Amino acid sequence: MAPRLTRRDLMRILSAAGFGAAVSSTVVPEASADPPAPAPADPPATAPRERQPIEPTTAPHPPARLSGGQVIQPERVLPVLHETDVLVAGGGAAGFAAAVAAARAGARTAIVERYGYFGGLWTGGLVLLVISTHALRDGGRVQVVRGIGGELLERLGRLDRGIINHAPDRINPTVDPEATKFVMDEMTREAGVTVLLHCWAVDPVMDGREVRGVVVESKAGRQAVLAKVVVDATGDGDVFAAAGAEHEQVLHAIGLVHRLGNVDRVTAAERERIGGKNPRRALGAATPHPSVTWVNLRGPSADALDVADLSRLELDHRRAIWQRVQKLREQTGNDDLFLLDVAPQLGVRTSRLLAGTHRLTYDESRQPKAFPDTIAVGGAQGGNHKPWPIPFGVLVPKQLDGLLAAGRCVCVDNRLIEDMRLIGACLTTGHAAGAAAAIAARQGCRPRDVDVPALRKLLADQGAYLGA
Amino acid sequence: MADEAESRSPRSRLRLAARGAALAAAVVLAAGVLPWQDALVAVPAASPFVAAASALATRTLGVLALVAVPVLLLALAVRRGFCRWACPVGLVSETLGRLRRGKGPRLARWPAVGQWVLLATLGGGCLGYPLLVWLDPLAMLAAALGLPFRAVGWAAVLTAAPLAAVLAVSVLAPGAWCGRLCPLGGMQDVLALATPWLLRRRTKPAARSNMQNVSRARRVSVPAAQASRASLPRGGCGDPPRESAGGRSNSDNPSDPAESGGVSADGAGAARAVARRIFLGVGAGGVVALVTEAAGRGASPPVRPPGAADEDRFVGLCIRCGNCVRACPSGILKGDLGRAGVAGFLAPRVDFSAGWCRDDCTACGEVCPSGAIARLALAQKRRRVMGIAVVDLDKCVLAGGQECSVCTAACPYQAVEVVEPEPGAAFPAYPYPRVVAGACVGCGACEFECPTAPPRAIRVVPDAGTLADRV
Repeated sequence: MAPRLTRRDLMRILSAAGFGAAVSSTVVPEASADPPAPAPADPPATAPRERQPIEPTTAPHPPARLSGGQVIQPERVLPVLHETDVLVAGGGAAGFAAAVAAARAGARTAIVERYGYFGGLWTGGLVLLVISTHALRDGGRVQVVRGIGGELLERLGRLDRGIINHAPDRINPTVDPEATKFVMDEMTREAGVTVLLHCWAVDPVMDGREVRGVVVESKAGRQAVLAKVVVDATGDGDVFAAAGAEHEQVLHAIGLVHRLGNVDRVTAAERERIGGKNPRRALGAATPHPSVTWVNLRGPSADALDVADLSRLELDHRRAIWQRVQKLREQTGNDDLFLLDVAPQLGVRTSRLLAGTHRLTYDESRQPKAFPDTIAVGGAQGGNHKPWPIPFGVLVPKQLDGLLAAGRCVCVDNRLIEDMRLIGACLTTGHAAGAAAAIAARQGCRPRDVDVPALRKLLADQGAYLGA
Repeated sequence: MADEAESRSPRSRLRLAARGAALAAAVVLAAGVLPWQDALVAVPAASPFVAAASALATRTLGVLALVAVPVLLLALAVRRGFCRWACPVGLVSETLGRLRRGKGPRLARWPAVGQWVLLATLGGGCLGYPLLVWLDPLAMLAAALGLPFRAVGWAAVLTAAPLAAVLAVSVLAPGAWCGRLCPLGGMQDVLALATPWLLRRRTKPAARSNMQNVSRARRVSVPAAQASRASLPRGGCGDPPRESAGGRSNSDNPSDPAESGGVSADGAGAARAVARRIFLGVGAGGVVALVTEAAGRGASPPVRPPGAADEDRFVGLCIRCGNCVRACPSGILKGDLGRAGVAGFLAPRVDFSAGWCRDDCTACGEVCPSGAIARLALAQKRRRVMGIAVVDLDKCVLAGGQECSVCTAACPYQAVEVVEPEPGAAFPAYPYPRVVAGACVGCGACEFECPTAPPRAIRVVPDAGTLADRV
């Protein structure tokens, strides 16, 4: 508590000058190289080492209190942590792409992320396979994940063991999670995005029917980040749901991924002992590291918004994974084989879905027609069917203003969830949402009123694939 | 279009105009340029040969058979009336025949193949397998005209091959196709035998018969005398009765086969000969049908379009017109190139590599002129089992411990469910998809969408069932 108070006070004083740089430099040490950064960055860096007595009476705000059996949260003024043009809530695949796209389009951009890294379920969930990167066109394959996402894959390809199956004749590559985090860090930094990690977006800041920012919860307590446009890339639609936007909730299987180490030391004879017709597959799917595989776990259908469900699944899944790996060690007789890690994030496939101005259906995607407002293109999981255009309307809430959705929580029907929740689609819808938010912020218009031809031109300039 | 003498007469000009109009109509209808998909059925369905064979084989007489009624009436009213006044293939064949005017073979020495084709096909049709119904000229024309609208491939080329062969015959042996080989022409000859009998019932037998004979003789013999051997329908018109009366070896007047016309058909010997011919033709057709069916039974049949008749009957009923291949919006119907044996050659099979059988579509049944694919209401079609999906767990992505739910999402019938593995089971150790037998109709959406390489981890195999349990 003590150091946060100190830093906040200090930040208030300095807020007019180098506020954004100060924040990012506290999060990202390398940013201290920026000229304005050292002065504000130094005190917080040294502060934790000091012991400061805090008077028991100086509570920063009136706490929640019990009143008649109910818990009452008193009204209070929230400090403004940051003010920006475009605020992206959630740093998963969609949020990352949105933030980089908006910043590159010239908007002041900030991103808040509840964990300490980018990538969400891609990196933190260890869902390392990027499915639906391509689709079938003219008898050949066309890559649909381009733009920010495509650039990310390209840069992973330039790293040693950053990605496999990424070649002109391959589809659906598998990435290394740490390499992916690294490249995402680099790209957000290069784009000049203000990065706010360990901040959980919990509430919208409303101005009438318009979202004007997000309240984040962090170790510093509740703070507000104000913005002209908010992109809800939380995956669960936390922001638009709290803002009262029309939406629906879908239950889906919730699993947990783990990785195995030393799989390359398991001999063919040892694999045989696992039994079954295809013992090789029992050791999981390949990753860029020959000694490491990743293993999916589907899990039962559950409520991703219910802490009890999530907690139960975490415990159950981790026990099942531990037991499965021990069994594999027994079956193979190989003691080198080990459980490398279990994903820090539970594998929530889908939860809330926005009610957008266009509800894209599975049938629309399988008998695809180009929309006048196509802002992204979906791929085929096996590269075996046509690309399907994604209209701008799936990102736009029916009534709520000041907000665009991106990622798995956009407006699709139940069957199309299986395609829209994949990383490739999250990268492309995120890219589109970020670009649209930047235009809305620049033109001072509502996101729904963004000039679609201008948006499509911006997306094309940023390398996005919008169809033939 | 005809000889100079004939072309000067108003009647022949009228006939030319009628035939040209029929050809144009056939092209327009069969080319599918109209915004009316049912137009595709009109050309093949106009053939009474197709209608009769289909009705016999399916044992149903559909509304579609009405399309053939005008042609039937024309053939009954005027000897070879359809050939002479309407047949588009005949017009093309005859025009090609003029390229080598006077070089034609002595047609009278040719057997009346068309009639045998007709009788054998109808005989086979009685047993559910109308062998050679695809030799119908209108079916061949429709198949060839559909060629520009089909995907390039051997099946498409072979579909147009019969018409090409007919045209080649027309050049090499002018008049042979129309006069001797065409089963629809043969059918008209047979129908012509019935004309006097039909007319006699309504008038005084003797007088009517004489009048009929005289007028028939004049009508037929005048153009026949003027025309060269090559000018077609006459070649076949009078042949059957004469031949049946005296046997083919007695064709002592081959240069003017039409001379005797239907006159001698009234003879008792002729009637016996006709009866014998019908008996032989129908019997032979039945035997061949049985043999072909038995031979085809060993081969594993492919998946057929929804509403297709039983495999044995389907391969015979199908006239290979290619309508369904063209009409299918998913492009999944392909002419079979022998996978189902010789009997099923070029009959449509379903190939899920290009798409799946849409649950909102009944196009193939709507354009099938022969009843090989039944016309199903959408609700019926959605329950009609084409096959059933089977899962190859060795290839399945989900069963291999990875993330995939493509088939469950793709299935329009919610017929693929994900099953948790038995606790502690060695295989499958991971969740895997399972096909709900009563719900799967074999539409192939799962197979098409499955991200594995062909043959895919989930694929549709033919199934003998007819109806899904779902309501």
